[in-house]
Amino acid sequence: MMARRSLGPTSCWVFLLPALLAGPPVLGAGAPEAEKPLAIVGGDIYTITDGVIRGGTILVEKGKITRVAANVDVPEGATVIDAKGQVVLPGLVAVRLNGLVPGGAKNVADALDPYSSVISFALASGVTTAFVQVGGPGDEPTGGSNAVVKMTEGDLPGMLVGEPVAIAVAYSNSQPRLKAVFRQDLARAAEYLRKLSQYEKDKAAGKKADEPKLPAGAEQMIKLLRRELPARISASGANDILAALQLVDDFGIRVILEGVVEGWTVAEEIAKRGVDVIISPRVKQEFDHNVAAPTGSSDQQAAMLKRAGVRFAITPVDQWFGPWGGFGEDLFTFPLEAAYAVGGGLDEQTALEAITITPARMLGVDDRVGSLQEGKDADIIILDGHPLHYSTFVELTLVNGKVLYDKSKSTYFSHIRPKPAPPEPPPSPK
Amino acid sequence: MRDEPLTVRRVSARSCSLLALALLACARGAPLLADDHHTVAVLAGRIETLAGPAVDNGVILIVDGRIEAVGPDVKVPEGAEVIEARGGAVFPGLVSPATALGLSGASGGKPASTPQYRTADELYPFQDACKLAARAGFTTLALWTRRPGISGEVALARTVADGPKEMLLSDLGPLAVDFRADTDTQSAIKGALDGAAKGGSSGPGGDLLTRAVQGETPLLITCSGAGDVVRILKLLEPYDKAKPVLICQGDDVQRVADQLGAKQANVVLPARIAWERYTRNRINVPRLLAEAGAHVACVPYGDSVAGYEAYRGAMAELVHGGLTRDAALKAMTILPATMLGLDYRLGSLEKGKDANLVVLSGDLLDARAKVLRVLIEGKTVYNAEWGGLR
Amino acid sequence: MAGSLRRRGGPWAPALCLAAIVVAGSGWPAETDHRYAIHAGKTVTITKGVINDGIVLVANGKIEAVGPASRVQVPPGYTFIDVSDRWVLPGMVEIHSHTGVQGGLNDMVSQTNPGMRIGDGLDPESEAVKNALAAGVTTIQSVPGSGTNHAGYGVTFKTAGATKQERFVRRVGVMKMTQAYNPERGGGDIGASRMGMTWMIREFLSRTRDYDAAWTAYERGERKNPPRRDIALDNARPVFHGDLPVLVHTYESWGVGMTMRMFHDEFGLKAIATHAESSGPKMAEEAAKRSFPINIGPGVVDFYAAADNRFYGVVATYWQGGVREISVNTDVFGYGEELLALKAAMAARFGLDDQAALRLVTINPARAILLADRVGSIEVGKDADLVVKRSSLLDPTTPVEMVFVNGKLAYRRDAKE
Repeated sequence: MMARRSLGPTSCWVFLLPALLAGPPVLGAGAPEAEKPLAIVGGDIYTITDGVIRGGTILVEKGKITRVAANVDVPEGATVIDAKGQVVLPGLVAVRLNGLVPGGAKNVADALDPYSSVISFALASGVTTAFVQVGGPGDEPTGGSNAVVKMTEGDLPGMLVGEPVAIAVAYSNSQPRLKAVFRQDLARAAEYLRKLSQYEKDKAAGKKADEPKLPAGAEQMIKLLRRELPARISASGANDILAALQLVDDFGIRVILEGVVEGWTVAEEIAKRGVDVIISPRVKQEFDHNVAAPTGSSDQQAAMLKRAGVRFAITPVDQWFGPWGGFGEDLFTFPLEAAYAVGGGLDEQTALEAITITPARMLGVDDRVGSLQEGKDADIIILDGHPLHYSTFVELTLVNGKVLYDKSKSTYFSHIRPKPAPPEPPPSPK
Repeated sequence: MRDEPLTVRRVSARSCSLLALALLACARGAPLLADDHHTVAVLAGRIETLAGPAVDNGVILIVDGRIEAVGPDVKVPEGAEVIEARGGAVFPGLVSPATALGLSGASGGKPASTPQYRTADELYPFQDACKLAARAGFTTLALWTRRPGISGEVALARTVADGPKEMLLSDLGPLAVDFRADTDTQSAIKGALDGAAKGGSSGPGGDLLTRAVQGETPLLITCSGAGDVVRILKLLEPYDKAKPVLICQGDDVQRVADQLGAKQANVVLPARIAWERYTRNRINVPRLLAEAGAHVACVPYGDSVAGYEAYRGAMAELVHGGLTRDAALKAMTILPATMLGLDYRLGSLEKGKDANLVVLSGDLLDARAKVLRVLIEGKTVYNAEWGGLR
Repeated sequence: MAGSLRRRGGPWAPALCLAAIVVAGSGWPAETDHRYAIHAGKTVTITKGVINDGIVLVANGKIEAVGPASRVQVPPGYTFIDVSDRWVLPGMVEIHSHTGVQGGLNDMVSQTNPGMRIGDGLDPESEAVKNALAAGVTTIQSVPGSGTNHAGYGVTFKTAGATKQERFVRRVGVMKMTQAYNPERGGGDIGASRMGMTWMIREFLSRTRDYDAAWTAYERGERKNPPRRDIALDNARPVFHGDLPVLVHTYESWGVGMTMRMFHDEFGLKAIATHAESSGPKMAEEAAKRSFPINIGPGVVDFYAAADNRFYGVVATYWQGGVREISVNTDVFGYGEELLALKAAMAARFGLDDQAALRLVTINPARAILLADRVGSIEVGKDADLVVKRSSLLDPTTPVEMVFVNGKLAYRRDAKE
């Protein structure tokens, strides 16, 4: 006997229209809270772009910063966060974050998990925006997929800020075949663009012209040639740095140099071409006896790059959150890397820029994050001490104006130097 | 309440062949029917029907494999096979809505859309795993092998039957999907469902895709944790007729309890008290989701015979940890049946439904209680007195 | 290719090479007799408090005097070093790393290798040692690895000195033993289980104790005939006389407990539990009771062991349990000694106060290896191993500017381009 088909319960799904229309999933208590204006009052505000405002106020409305100043009238009904005696900074921007998505994923957007522990660690460390890459060049000089991600825990759509923001390129003297292929691909695409431009000119002039054929796979090269996206190239030694700078001379592309160690030896060349650089001040490289030129790493690299006019972002030695053992070398203590740059002679302001606005600009998201300015996203961190001090902890992290991390309520660090409870308010008069 | 003429008709139709046997069985005091599966009366100390209050000292009357009556005053007709369980309890046979027990197919592989793969073709008859599941109280299984993307067609099966074909409750089964947070899997799933929604799929297995998207057959989706759930909810938004069931194995599903509850989603969870990540805090995820409003069914933790054998104890642990008894019993029987679209015929002890039931020496949720007998459609497929499997 | 970029040499090139930063006495006022009067803004003695506006006198490789500037008389002929806007701290002491030694850390044929001495492989030209010096680490104890239960003996040396001889503090440093994990053999040898490893260690210690007792008796004239000679076991005799500690690599509470029971309780030896992480801090009270030294590193923070979703400072946890004989290590294989100060800073970050954190890399490790008479604090009579810095050793925003080793200026940071 044929089984009678059953439709199952009449309401497998009860679509609550309000829930659908509200957009991103409700995160429990707080949805109405997020709509109220917010004021962070009394802290030392490191705007990054407009100096430090001691004892200032930041107003936040609908997820954006609406006011940053010394004296501000706090609107009625606003939630007030008392930051007196504390330091306020924009959320930190990591120019690379590993471990957020599995390495084998094909693209970042499809693999993001808004409940990943990495996000909790990031919020606890004050990192609110990060560049994430999966895959990369292998047999070909370009490859992989990347995106800029915000740590909007529990809110998947809110996480993706930009995709892609760079093209990862393998261009190094140790891989001559890939170098040659890349140059060829660029040259071919450049030729196409020349022909295209000529064709358009001819057409406009009414001449007969054949439309040039787009070479296979040239889309990425065209983006580079049109300077829509930068090439992100790992270049630690001086020779690789110079080779990448040659690309700028020959093709006019935008380049971001990553993992730069010997940049200090060719700082002027880098500065001349306006190439952005990513450094970890603490990475050590032994100098080479066999080269009659400066080699190796220098903890003064950051200061030397600054003097030569090179713009750089700072990234920690380990670009992940590693809750095991070592500590002090990864993103958990991100500002520490900048502190070491100061130890090498860099000024504090540039050091702080190198972990906020400079990476934001390199990632193309400086219109939204990287500084405390009106109109930007309310990605704000409140610290219990000087940002570059080894014992400073993040007390509060806001992303898009919502408090997503509170040190006193999270289990991670609440037992370490807890803030003394505020004194009991006096009983209200009857 | 039984229909008198039915029995009379039956007896009269077989009178010639049965009379001799009846005479032989005179010594037993009651006439013996040649085929003892036709009418069975189970006399139980307690009957949990899952369709109303429990019946104490009642009778379940089974005719031709279906429940004819359940109640305290049901008359046992002459010639009925009588199963004595006055010291024990009777529950509906357990239903596992997601398992690969006893299958021979290989799981994993590259993400793809393979709705044409039928689990019915993978049933391996020469294994005892499903019989051992029956011994553990299970009468019904939803079987399939996971393959990332569209895995294939589920086999809705009896745990014990004479052969693989006889195991199948139906030639057609629900659609199984294995969700992963990677590009290829998601595009395989989306591509297949979109194609079916737009104009029906013509390729192999296309009919199944269409039926799933139209809600004519359930859509069973295996996935990991909270991150997968939010993606699946988003992915399913265009298919508002579909009947999805989320089978979640991850360790952080409770983080989306409110979202699943708001949708009164059908969720299948492993029967275990889990650990909160990085801690030794125990959390009762089925309880949290049930309290939030989701419909929760539970599968054994560990898709193996050992997992099935530990299932009742594991469910008892969940109840000990705060899951209501009512929610637990439903999670083992009527809810999985409903999620599989089988509630019209099993999952509870009601007139007209298959006589799938388990007789125990004590309560279902008492780990010390032993399974004494398991019936599938009135036929005893396990009897503790056998001293083994048959 | 026209205009192609090439590496350039230049007159300024040598100055930037790391090696050139190490001063060999050039460009500095005549210091033939290495006598200094250092006027320090803040002198952190570690053991005798902090002196603001003080003078440290250095002569003959030792601290001759230390005190407030108003009370210390500077004798004639001393080179005056004005660092009155800087701090002066003791050079740091690393007691568990593998820096500066060549040729491998483990010879793993036998489970116990009492004949191995890593001091035989010390390389005084090692760039890694120069790097350590520039980071303010003045004393290093390099040890063999943890591949076997007894890997041999470490070597204690200073990170500067004209000759290898000048650098040695102890040719035969601590005895290095390993209690768990790394030496676990898989191939059916003895030592595949902890039972086997523990037996290896106990058997060796018993045998060596008997050897030492027999020789001591002979040396005292209590027996006529000399016992049989075993030069490998000779290395261990100072251990049984309490003159040399054992550095025991161990983990978990069972491991730390075992180390204390066996080495301290059963054999009465001076021993240090090194690494001692994960659930090790559960043995804090037991360690405190015995004043048993603990040496933490390279992991100084734990998240998993307590399984409560919290980050714990390992040092702070031992400290809260009463342990005061506690130090940190980097366990690096060469480059990386600059991490020593970072470990102390992280210990401070996760719950220790800054004063206590400084002890983790100065007096405490010195005491642990029975070298506190020479290093670990700024006190009269101790080696003049000093670091000059704009702020604390823990603070990464200021670099090490000068380092004195054995009373000689061994490093000066070149601040020019």
